[in-house]
Amino acid sequence: MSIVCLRVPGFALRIALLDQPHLDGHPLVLSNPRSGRAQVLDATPEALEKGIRPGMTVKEATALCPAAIVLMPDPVRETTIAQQIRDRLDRVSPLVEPDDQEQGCWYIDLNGLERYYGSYANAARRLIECIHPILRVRAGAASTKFTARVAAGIAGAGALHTVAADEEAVFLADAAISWLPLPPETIRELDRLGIPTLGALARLPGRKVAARFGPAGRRAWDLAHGRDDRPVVSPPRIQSVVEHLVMPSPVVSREMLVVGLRQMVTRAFSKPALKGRQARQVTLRAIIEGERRSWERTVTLNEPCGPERLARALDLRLHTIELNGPVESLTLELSGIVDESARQEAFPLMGPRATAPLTEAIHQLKQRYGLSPMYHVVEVEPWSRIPERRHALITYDP
Amino acid sequence: MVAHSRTPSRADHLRPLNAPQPITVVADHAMPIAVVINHHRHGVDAVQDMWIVQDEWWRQPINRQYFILLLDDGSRRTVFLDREDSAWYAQDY
Repeated sequence: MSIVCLRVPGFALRIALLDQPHLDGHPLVLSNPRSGRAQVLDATPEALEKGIRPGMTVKEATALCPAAIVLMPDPVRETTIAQQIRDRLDRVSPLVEPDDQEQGCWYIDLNGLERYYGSYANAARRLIECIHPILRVRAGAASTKFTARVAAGIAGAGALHTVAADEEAVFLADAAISWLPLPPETIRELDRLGIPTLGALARLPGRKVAARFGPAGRRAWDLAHGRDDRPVVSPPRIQSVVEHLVMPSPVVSREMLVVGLRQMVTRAFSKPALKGRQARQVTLRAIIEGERRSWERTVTLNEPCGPERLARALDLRLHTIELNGPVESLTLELSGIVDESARQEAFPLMGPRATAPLTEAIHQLKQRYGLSPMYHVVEVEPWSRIPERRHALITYDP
Repeated sequence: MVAHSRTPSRADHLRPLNAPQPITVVADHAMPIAVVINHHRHGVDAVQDMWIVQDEWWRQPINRQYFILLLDDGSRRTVFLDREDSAWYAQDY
């Protein structure tokens, strides 16, 4: 074993307990406040015991269990806590990879660290200690990421389940098919076909699985055999500039928010990290007045923008956003920072003034090479059954 | 000035896109079982689809059998067997 997987099932629900530990042990339900029919997004084991399932309406859930406590998602808090945990894990091992499919799941490569910590088990315990006990983290250790994740799935709260290298095939054989990274409908199909475990899938011929389920099925078949060569890759630290703005009083007017945003953009671009540079990605977080609610959106722009264009882009987007209540504070995070660069105009948008230099350039190229080396794509017979007849390149010679 | 009406068309300046590229395919009874790409042989895990295109019998006949192949490295390739000259080509459809 050299890979450890740490999982916090129901991460969004568990982090609410950090501020309200007295709710631990109660049936908790996570729901989406924005949709018309509020649905259960996630539930704690205590709520699952009462028959509550993700996907049912909150009304159904509270009818089944009147003592259920409904909590709203707090994406800003989730991001902050996940980042804090990542920072702590980074101090134990340099190779920490958050799972991009599941929030509250991290893979840590401990290869080479057993001598520093005395043993892999000691190092794994250090990792568990990085996470608050109320989050009920579970740890699995194995030689591959997939097996470590399955092991974490059966470990108890705050405990480590280790799978020895020579026992991995036996261990995986009994695991449920739902552990595979496949879409829910594929999992249901496998179940209907009488393949409830990884062992049952592994016994099938690989070619047949690939023919039926495509490359994803082939990959799943490899995983069922314990073959997983994905290394733990630590995502690079992204340079970002963060600006906070606390509103003097909770704001509901969009105009006021736009003014606040413009101020934050100006402040951000006056910082040395952004001076004379441009940003490509914007994350806007808002804390909404009331019981622990927040809102988060990430916008990736078509091209890097300076302060004026960025403020305009945010202004336009803010008009299409629906906030859930008065905003107490705003956080603006700018990332994808690049040096200022020239902008490439789109071809069809070129006005008459831009066409002239292009024509002149083509004229000069023709003088030099005897023909225009510029082409454009034209539709010839787009309906044709013969693929090479559909489109062609034609000399661009205005 | 109006161009001369007998100006020859510039067909030499029209380049078809997505032209068929010759490819080495190992076949068993006209069913591909391996494809050679960059000197590497890739086994065919599955034939995901196949169809026949027959056209232009009145001039130079076109008679192709297309296959969408799932290769053992997980990639997909579309190839066809030109049934006029029994040669294999790769071409996206």
